[in-house]
Amino acid sequence: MLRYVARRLLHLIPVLLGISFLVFLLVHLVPGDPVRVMLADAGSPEQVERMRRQLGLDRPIHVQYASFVVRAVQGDFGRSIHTRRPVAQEVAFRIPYTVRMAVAATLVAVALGVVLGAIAAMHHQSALDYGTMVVALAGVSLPNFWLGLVLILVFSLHLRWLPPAGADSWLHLILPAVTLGTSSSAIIARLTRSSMLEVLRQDYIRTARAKGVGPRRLVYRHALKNAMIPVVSIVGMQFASLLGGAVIVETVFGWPGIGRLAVDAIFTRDIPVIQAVVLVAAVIFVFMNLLVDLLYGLLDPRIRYG
Amino acid sequence: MTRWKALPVLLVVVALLAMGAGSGGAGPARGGTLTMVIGSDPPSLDPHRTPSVNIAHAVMYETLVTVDRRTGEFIPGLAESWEVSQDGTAITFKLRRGVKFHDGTPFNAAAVKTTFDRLVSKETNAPGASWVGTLTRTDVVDDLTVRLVFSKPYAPIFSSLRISFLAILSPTAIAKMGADYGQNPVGTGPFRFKQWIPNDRIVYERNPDYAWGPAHYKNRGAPNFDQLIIRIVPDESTRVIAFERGDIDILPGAPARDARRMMREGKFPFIQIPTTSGTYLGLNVKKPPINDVRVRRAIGHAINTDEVARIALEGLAVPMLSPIAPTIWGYWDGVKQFALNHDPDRARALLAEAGYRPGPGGAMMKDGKQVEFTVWTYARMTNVRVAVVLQSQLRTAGIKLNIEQMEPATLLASTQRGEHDAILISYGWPDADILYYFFHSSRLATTNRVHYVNTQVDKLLEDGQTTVDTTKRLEVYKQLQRILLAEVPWVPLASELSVNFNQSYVQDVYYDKFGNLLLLDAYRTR
Amino acid sequence: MMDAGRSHWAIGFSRMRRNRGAAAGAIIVLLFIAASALAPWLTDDDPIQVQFDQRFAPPSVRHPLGTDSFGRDLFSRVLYGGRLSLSVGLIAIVISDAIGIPLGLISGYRGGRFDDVMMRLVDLWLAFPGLLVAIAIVAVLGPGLQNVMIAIGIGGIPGLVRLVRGNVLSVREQEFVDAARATGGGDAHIVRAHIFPNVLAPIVVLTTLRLAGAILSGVGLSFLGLGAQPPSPEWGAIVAEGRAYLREAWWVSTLPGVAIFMTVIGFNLLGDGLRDAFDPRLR
Repeated sequence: MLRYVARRLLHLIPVLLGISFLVFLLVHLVPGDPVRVMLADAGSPEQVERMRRQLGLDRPIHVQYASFVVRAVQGDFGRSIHTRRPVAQEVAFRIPYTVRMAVAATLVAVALGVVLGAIAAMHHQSALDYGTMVVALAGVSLPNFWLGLVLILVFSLHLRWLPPAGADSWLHLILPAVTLGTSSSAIIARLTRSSMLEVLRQDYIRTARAKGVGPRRLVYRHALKNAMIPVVSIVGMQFASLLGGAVIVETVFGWPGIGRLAVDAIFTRDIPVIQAVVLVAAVIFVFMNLLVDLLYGLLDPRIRYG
Repeated sequence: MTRWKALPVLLVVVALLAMGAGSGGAGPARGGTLTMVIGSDPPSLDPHRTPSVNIAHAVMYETLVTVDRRTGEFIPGLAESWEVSQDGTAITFKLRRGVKFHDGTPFNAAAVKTTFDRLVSKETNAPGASWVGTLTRTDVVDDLTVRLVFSKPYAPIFSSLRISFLAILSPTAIAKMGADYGQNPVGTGPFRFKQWIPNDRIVYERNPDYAWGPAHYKNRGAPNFDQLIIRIVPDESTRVIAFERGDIDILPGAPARDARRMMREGKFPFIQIPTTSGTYLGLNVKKPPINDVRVRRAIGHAINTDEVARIALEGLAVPMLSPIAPTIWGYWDGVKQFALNHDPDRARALLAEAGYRPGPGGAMMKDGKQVEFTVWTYARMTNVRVAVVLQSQLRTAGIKLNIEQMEPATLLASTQRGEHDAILISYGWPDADILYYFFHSSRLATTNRVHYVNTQVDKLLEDGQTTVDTTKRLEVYKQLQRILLAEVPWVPLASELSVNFNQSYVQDVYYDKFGNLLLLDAYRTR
Repeated sequence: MMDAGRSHWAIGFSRMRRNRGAAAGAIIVLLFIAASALAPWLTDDDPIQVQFDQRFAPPSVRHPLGTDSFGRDLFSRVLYGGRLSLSVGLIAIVISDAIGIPLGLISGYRGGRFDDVMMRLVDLWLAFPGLLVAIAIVAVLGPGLQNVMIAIGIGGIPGLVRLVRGNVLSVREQEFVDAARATGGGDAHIVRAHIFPNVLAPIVVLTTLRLAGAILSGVGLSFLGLGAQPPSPEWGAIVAEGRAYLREAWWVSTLPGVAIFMTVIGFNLLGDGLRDAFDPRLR
């Protein structure tokens, strides 16, 4: 299994190289450049040229890329063109906030999704089945920016229970996590439901039922555990996408996470920051997938790692 | 130095708070924390490494001159007095004695020289460098006397001198911090920097040594608050709710729709002030069909700026008659007789003159095609609302307007290359010299986004910079406004009003005529 | 073989008719499609005509869904907007299905080198945060609904490739595939006649959810100003515009939001029905 992990981590290297190169290409394809954004209107053409030279942006793309890789390998991601802060610092500032939000949102999503999905599967094709699925779908079909504001209006303005913006305490985490978690709970609910339906029809469940195992125990001990296999994989992917996809929720709730950093960097064409954010997201994504695969093994003893 | 408004608050280029003395007897209560809110982080707190300055700079930095909030006159800031040379190419400042930077460094002529040398140096490449115009060098005359020397007179210099781009920095900190000055900023202002959590808040604490507040304050000593927090909340609706809940003490520049509601509800004190910003429709004079001045004039007459102000901007704006907003120095009241008044019939007549004939549905057509152009704008709500109103007004005159929202970087790059038909954006600047950036031919590759070239206009814009005599200078801008209204590279639309709310327990909050928040006298009653 | 195939579909459809959820879903979806298609006959109001003296009219007989901040009739905007939002979802899905399904089938069936390379590419693409890719694509191609469809469509490809491939892998080694191979079926035939029908169910399930996701991605991009351009009545744009007025005129963003919600539900119920009816493992 250690060899398996090592091999997966080795795979990470080409992925990271590929991603960083794609980002480089992409940023150069997009109109607008960081120097003009930085100098805004004030810059004379000479000033723009000078700054481009200072930042090394006048060199050919492959040279820029090579020097980026060489420095990145040594852990130096340069400075943000827009804020002049070291990129590593920009990212490090936000990672704790981002992880906190992603974990909380994932918990909300899993709790909501698994419960709704299990209820629906146990009452297949009944009103309860449709009812729970409609509730789950409501979560995914309400735009984040709308749901977030409605939650703020209800819980912050009218009931005065929770703060609308900021990141000072766990209280500040609740509304954004619920907003974000709700939107990914639907996919988890559906997966739980369908994989449970499948499991419930399998032979060993029939056997267990024939042996007289009670329905409650059947669901918790047998069906739910086996139904979790595909669910775990989607949770891993959802967690990773929460890191990058939380932009809108971060904006609505004034949460200082990595999503806003990424979008601001795209809007200012801040290449070093875009690079770092995308690489961090990719690393987290790969690790989450690895973790998921290892979890598979725990849930399903038939899977072996060679 | 974004010259248009990215966000209302951001662009309110705040001058300065200075502070003052007067806490004697039953004076205002001391202590407590004041929390205010803005929409986005400044890129850097180093004034030489940021494309825009805002309140976050203004509370901790000071400039040589400042503006009296009551009269609008320039008054001493860090300079006690100044003298402009006969030919207008040198300004000598007598500096205030006893001023200290937050790091203990004494403020003196050398500090001013170090700051301005850094600002204009090629190595710094400061985005704000152009605000000093033709400045060639800074001379230390004696410890408290400094002279700015210009290659030719630069009339708008005083408007620049009060902006945080030209704030005076600590030479010790510059030497020590270098590129990290923005993370450890040091100024002379009433608040000193404590902590910055990006995208969340900037925290300042009282500068206890402060004793050099400008004359328009009652309190000229240290501020009443122990701590000042600037919260960053990007979403407008959330910002307003955080204020209404009482999480925030001061809400500058409330979004128009919420401002209207809160004014109606009357729960919070507010101050309504005009801004030095203008929203305009810029027409690329090189692009058909709007390269024809008759078509541009027709567009101008088809537009109803009253409706723009009343509907699109929710009534919190005044219609603009000239490219120069009425609040900006250089605005000429006589411009009324040349303004492009709302007159759809005249618009159609002008189009007919240009060869267009009414077609199906009232569309004005030539060679089987309707007069049509596309306007680019930012995805900022007010801009988009203005665009929608313009679209419907132009439709009535038989002109088709398409709208495309764009992110700033793309808009910036593509308009510089002249790929656009028209743009709808705003600018904010207190001096008519702003026109130089928008219409001078030397700015074609950058800010002259309408690609307008007129040698007479070039000459006038240059005169506007070098004419030190105010009456003569006003005459220059009078002529410019007439020409620009006849040639219509811009259709001026509206100048927004800013409504600033505060909690009723916060007293004596002022704003100057440029919308800058002044906090020295302010205090909490609880 | 053909006979067996037809009866497979016939059985599926007859099962579906008996599934109330699927029927409800189909009805909702058809209703929305019909309402959008028939918009000009259902309302006389122009979806983009402003009426400044009619701003913020609450829902009434004259304006069933009220009016917005420019006095535009929201009923008309929602009807016409349905054309745009439904097309965004459908076309984005068609784009990713057209590319993702064949790639997944080939990758899973062929295995080997091709599969290795494909999976590395998919890893790479999946590791890119999706919304960022969409923003970047829109920044390159320019804003507007067409480019939004392309961006969302491209963003959906890697997940689909992975899903299809995974399912192909599990089907590939089953007896009936071996049997087909033994009776001399060519690769293309085996994939089309045996593998594809057997991996269709998970594709359908995912597609229905992705439809919702695609419509909502469009909504998100509209919020960032990169999607539908004004005065387009795309649903996301209406909700985003109306959001600012939620406190004074709740209907402006809430009622179009209900339209999004209903459509998403409709597609999902329909998808579930399809799944129950056609999943061969449930036969």
